Parts: sequence; C-alpha cells; structure tokens
Amino acid sequence: MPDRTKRPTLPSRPGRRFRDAATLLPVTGLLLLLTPLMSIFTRAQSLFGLPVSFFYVFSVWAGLILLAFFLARRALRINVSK
Amino acid sequence: MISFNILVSICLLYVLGLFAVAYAAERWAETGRFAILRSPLVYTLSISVYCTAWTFYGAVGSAARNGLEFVAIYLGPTLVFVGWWWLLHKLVRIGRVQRITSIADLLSSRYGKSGGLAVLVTVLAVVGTTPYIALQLQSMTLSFAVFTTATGAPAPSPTVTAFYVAAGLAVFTIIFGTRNLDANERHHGVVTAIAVEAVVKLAALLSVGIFVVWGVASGPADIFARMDPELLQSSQVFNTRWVMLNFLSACAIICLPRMFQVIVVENSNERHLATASWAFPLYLFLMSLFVLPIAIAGQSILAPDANPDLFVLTVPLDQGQQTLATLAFLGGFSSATSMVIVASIALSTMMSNHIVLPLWLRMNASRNPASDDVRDLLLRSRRASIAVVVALGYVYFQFNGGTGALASIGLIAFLGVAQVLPALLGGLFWHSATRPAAIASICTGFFIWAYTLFVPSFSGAALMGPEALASGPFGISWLAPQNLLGVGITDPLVHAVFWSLGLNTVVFVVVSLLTTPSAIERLQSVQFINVFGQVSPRRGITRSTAIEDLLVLAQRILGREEAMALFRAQARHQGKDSPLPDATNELIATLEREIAGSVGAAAAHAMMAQVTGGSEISFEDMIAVADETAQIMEYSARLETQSKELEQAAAQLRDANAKLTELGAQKDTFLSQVSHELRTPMTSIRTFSEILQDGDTLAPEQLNHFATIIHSESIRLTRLLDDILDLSFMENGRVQLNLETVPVQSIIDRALATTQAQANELGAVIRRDTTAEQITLYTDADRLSQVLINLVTNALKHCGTTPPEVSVLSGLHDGKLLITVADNGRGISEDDIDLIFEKFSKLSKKFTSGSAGLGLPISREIVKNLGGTLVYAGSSMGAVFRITLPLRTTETPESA
Repeated sequence: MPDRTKRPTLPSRPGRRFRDAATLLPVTGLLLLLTPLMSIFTRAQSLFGLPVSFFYVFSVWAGLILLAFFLARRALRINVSK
Repeated sequence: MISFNILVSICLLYVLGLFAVAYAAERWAETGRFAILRSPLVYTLSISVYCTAWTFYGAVGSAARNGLEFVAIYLGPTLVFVGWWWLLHKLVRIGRVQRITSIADLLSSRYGKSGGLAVLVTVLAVVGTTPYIALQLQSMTLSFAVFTTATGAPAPSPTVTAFYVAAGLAVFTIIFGTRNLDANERHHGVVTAIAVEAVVKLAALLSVGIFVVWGVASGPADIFARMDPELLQSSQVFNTRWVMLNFLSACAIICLPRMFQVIVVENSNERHLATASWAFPLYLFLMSLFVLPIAIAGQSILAPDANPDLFVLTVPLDQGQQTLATLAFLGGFSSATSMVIVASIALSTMMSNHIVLPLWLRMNASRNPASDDVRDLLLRSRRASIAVVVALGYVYFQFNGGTGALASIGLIAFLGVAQVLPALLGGLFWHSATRPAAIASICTGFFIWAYTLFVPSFSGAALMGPEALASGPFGISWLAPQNLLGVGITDPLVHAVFWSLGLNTVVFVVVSLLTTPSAIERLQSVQFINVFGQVSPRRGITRSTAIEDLLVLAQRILGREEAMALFRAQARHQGKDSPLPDATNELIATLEREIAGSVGAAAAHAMMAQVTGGSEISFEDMIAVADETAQIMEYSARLETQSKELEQAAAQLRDANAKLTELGAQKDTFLSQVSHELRTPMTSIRTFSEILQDGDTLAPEQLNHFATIIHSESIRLTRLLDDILDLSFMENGRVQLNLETVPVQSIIDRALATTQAQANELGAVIRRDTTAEQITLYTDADRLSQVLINLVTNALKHCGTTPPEVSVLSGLHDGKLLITVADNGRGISEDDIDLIFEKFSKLSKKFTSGSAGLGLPISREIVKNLGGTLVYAGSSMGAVFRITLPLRTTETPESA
C-alpha cells in the first residue's frame, strides 16, 4: 500500500467544492459592499419604512453570515483543517 | 438617581465577579476541565474584544454624525472572517506550528528571527495602541461624568477617575495576565473573563436598542420616520472614505496586537476558527443593529448640544430608566476594560520578549544565560510592561485633553498598526520578501502615519502648531501634513491611508527586489509559506553542546517540571534509558521552538545560540539541506527505475503467458489430428480382422486379400507413428545426427534412386546438373537424402501435369549450399502457402496420397537440425522449394 501521508494528494471533490465556495464568499461580499454596485441598489429612498441603504447593508451582511454558517458546517464535516 | 458611590460600588462588584470567573477558569484549566473553556463559543466571544468602548459609545456618535459610516468598521472584519480560508486559517496554523507569541514575534520569526524587526514592531504597536487605551479611559471618565452631572453629587475630576480606572485595570491584568509563563502563552482565566464581558456588553446594547425601538418609539418604521432626512441622504454611503474605512478595519482585525493575541495566540483548536467565521460576524451584526436607531432617538429627544458619543447612556437616563442606564454603563465599562486588559497583555508580552529580554541577554553576554532565572525576569518585566502600557495610555489621555471624537482616535490607532500589513502579507505569500524590506517599509509607513495623522491629532499642542498644519512646516506648502505634494485629498484619514500604506507597499516591494534573503530567512519563508504542505521539523544547527546546559536553560524558562518532562519524552523518543537525551539537532530545534513559545523566536534563537555556541546557519547546514533534497530526488529516481523494471517484467510475463496459451492450443490441435490420422488405418484393420474372425465362408483369395490389406494398413500405421516420433524428437532437438563428409552428388543420387520407380511409373523427367554437384559437405547424408526424397516425391505427386518435370539443382551461394527442387506444375495457391509446413495439412482433397501430411514438417525440422533452412520459394514456374545448408554442420543444433 502506498503511504498516503507522504504523498501530496488532490483534494477530494467535496473538499474542492468547499475551497471554491470559501474563496468566493468574501469576493462576493467585496463586490456587493465595496464597489459602486452598492449605489445601484441604494437608489430608492425607503423600503418597508426603512431607509433603503440601511436595509441593503444589513441584508447583505446577514446573507454573508448565513452563507458563512453553512460553509463552516461543511468545513467541520469534511474536516478541511486536518 | 444613582449616586456616584453606588455606581463605583457596582463597578467594584462587577470587577470582583470578573475576578471570580477568571480565578475559577484558571482552576478549571489546572484540573484539566477544558471542555467549557476551550469551546468555539468562548473563542468567538473573546474575539469580540474588537468591540471596545469605541463601538459601545463611539459607534452611536459616529452614526449621529455620519450616518451609516460606522458600519464600515464592522464590515471589514466581517469580510476577513467569512474569508477565513484566505488568510486567518494560514495565520492560525503558522501561529500553532511556530509557537508564535505576538505579531512582532511572527514578523521577526518570518524574517530570519530578527531581533531588530521585533523591536520595531513592538514600538509601533505600543505607539499605535496608546491612543486606543486613552480612548477607553476617556470613554470611562465620560460615562462616569454623565452620572455625576445628572445627580449633581460631588465627584472626583476626570483626571482622578481616569487614574483610578487605569490603576485598577493594571492590577487586574497583572494578576491574571502574568500568573504563569505558559508554554503556549495562553491565558485561560483572562480569556474566560473577556468572554463574560462580551456577553455583558452585547446584552446591554441590545437592551438599550430594544428599549429605544419599542419603548421610546413604536417600532422600526416609527424610529426611522423620526430620522433627520439629512442623516442618510447627505452622505452617500458609498464613497472613497467608505472603502478606506472597510479596508482599515479589515487590516486592524489582523494587525492589532490584541486581535492577534485572541485570534492566533489564544487559539487552542483550528476548528474553532470555522465556527468563529460566522459567529463573530453575527456578533458584530447584533452589536451594530441598533446603533442607528439609538442615534436617531438621541437626536430627536435630547438637546441639540448633547454629546452623541454618550447617547447610549443619556437616552435611557432621559427616559428615567435607571436600571437600563446602569446596565448600559456596565456594558461600556466591560468594553473598555476588556480591551485594555487584552491589549496590555499582548503588548507586555512583546515588550518583555523583544526589548527587555534581548537587552538583558546583551548585558549578560559573557555569562551563561542559564545561570540566572529567566522566568523570574520575564514575569517581572511583563508586570512592569503592563503598568507602563496603561500608564502611557493615561498620559496620552491627559495630554490629548480628552478632545476629539472617539471614532477618530480609534481610526488613528487602526492606521498605525496597519503599517505592518505589507510585511505581514508579503511574509505569508511571497518567497522573495526580505528583512531589510520589512524594516524599511514599516519605518516608512510609521513615519508618514505619525506625520500625517498622529502628530496632527494633538491639535493645538506644542508638537506642531495650527499654522504649520495648514501650510506645512516652515511654510513649505508641499510638506503640509494633511496635503502632501498637494494631492488634494480633502479627508485627512483617506489622505493618510493613501500616503502611508501606499509608500509602505512600494518600499516593501522595491527593497525586496533589490536585496537577497539570507539563508535563515529562506528556511523560515518555506516554513511559513508552505505551512499547509509537508511540514518537516527544521534541521537544527550542527553544534556540539552539553545536554546539561540545555536542561538548565530549559528549566529556567519552561519551569523545572515541564523541562524534565520534555527531556524525558525526548529521551524516550531517542530510545534511551537515561532521563537525559542526546543533544541532537532535532532536540535543539524542538527545544528552541518550545522556548520560543515563551520568549519569542528571536530571543529563543539568541539564547540557544549562546548556549550552543553558534548562531548563523553554516555552509554545512545548507549542504545538509541540499543533501536531503538530493536524497529525496535519488529515492524518487530509484522508485521510477523499479517501476519501469516491474513494467518490463509484467510485459514479459504477459508474452510468456500468451505463448504458453498458444502452445497449449497447438498441442490440442496436434493431438486431435494425430488421433484422427491413427483412426483411419485402425478402423480398416479392425473391420477386416472382424471379417476374418467370422470368415469361415470366405474364399482363400479373399482371405489372402484381406490379410494383405491389414498388413499394409499396419505398415502405414507404423510409418505414421515413426514419423510422429521422429518429428517430436527433432522438434525437441534430441535427434542423433550421423555427421560425415559426403559429396552432394551422392546424396542426390541416393534420393533419385529411391524415387526412380515412382518417376518411371508417371513417365516423369528428372533434370539435374551433375557438374554443379561436385561439392563436398559435412552433414548427415541419410537425413538430407530423406528430405530430398520427400521433396521429389511431393513434386511428382502434386505437380498435376503429364508428364511431370522435376529439376533438382544445386550450387554455392554466399558460402552455403543451395539445393532447389522445382516442378512444372501449377504451384501452390496463395491461400495454402502458409499451411504447407503445418503438420497433417492436406492441401487438396483430390489427391489421395497415402501420406498423413507430415512430410514437409519433418523435412523442415531435419534441415533446421542440420543448421539450414527450407523455404517455399514461389510458384512462378511451378512449385519451387529451396534448401540452404552450411557446408559444415556443427554438433549443436540451435534448438538444443
């Protein structure tokens, strides 16, 4: 049997998918919050009685947290830290 | 109204509670009950030390002044944490593998365990953190003042309040931050207390927020309806400052000494980071959710001149909510104390490891460092450092006179520590980054930061007058601190970020490209950048050392018990019976890492160098590293060769197997053909003998006729068996040759004499050239004439023309005898050429010759045994067979 610990092996498929997702998540946040894209979404004045910029920033924020939560669960399940 | 004294009592009780928590946590840690202490929850809550009094009070102030801008301070860290896979994961892994004790230690370790760099980063961190600590003191005195002015009770001046607070914090930190010199520099008690404080401040802010939204107003829509329309409209959320603030806060979460302390140094399990990646952003989210509503409420119900930085306290007080105000006060108190405690621990570690210890080592260079108790020195210097750090904050607070909004002081600190970012990221991802580049870039950034942001923050102070601030020192306008080269960036913060971090990065890259990393930097860069690869312990430096010296040194720094345990484990690892291991390179490297966990890489390296008497990586070490690489390459080449050999062997085996299978099939075919050939004569013999058995009524002529048939069939059978036997002998090369010297003519004579009768019967013409037959040959004449007989008989029989003409010609060709037997018939059809030498092949059913089809195979085997070849040479003039024979047949035929 070849000694697996000594040989660099390609990450398994779930590992690769996790890596891609983990890499893309902050980029998504960056695009939505730190580029002029933000001005496009905050043109209107109010939504559900809340100022739309307030609503937009906190919604994107909550979305990022939710996605990070699912990613973290996945990371712990496939044990990427090892 | 709560009196000042009650408030102080509450604070004291709260601090006592923290003492109890910290003490219990320490006890639990000692008894090994880590389960609660080392959970991802505590880790996440301890990271929330990021939310200081600035967040608690200042965020509302910032929201009241600039709308949503305050969110940027939390979005930056959120992006860093949800993107933990990019950077934090690597940082934490390196921190664990290299036993990093602080951010200064990380940089010094990466850049060749440089002491100078560690000192530089330490100074930068102290200078950058001082305003921050002052900020906490300021917020605490302000919050005290709110209560005292509200009650009108006599209270000490802000200076005195700040002094007592600072002193109290220093005592608490000293007691729990320097209780022991942990090998991994972790503080269970403090971290647990910080986690409790995190819960308090979150609960306090949420309570005030909920009260404001549903108590003061009647819901979210109502509170936003009260909003001054200028607040969110006047400042378009997205602009340069927004991006800069996000960027700065993202830098700060990595570079701030206290954040590095809780995220990297206090991390006990990498998996906790995965949980913190969403839980910490969630914490920040909750902390900022009610900031804007509180700001709006403050603006709408309080007097216009009220300090927005204190809305968290003044709004509940104004509404007569004493308990809520007290809770809010405790929340602010928690935020401030937790920050000061962690920051001073982190800074004291850096100061004692990178400034005090190296100085002491230098002063005692002649002495063995093991001869004094380094542990004591470290603990004492840490306690002193904590006092110094808190005192510095107090002095800054006094000097700065409590002016300036909380948020702007915080941002000054952020940009100060962010100057290490280029060197840090370069160190983690770029092999060519060098120590001179790190030092130059940090110095450049530090200087520009101080000039453009830090010094101008002492507004009106003696350092730089307002006129110098506006028009540059000595009237040189392009040197104006907040408008360098007249770039015209109006926001001082954006201006400072642009110049300091921009030039910092440029200097870092350029100097890195101009300089070459030293040997130890190269080694460390591999260890850092490839930390997720195969991490082999760094090769120690070859030195001769007394193991006793090492043990004494280890005992001084790690403590007696721990050092003995480590040495015993190493001895067991080396397979020795005695408690003392050999001073191998591996042991020295391990020991250096362990000691680095207490005193930092640079100091550990220097101490080990002093004991072991060698500090630089020698040429031999590099050779050793190169040797290792060469060995690995050689090993892999050997593996490759072996695998090739195996492949070849497998191919040979496959070939052999195919050959065997083919031979097996041939054997089967051969057996069935033999049985078939034997059956025919046997059947007729049996039939005729049965007739003879009951043949009483047969005439004597018939009897005689049948007996003749039986006789001739038996002869045919015998001949067949002889042939098979013969063939089998020859195929195995076991045939006995009677070699003699004979003329070719006599052999041909003999063959033709035998076939004479048949030829006469058919009226055939036999042609030969006797003059060409005058060649003598050393061969088996009987066998060779048998071949000729076969060929001539075949030619006569299968020629098909009348009268048949057969020519037997011989001659010399290339020193070999060539005999050709040709007829004038149709020749052999293309399809059959391959079959004629096969056993038992009968080409044409028309000819019922008596032969079994063994003639040609036998002939070919004979010629082969004589060392020659028999081939069918073509059908151009009829069938032509050609025999090529050496003039001298040797005794060892090829098949032997």
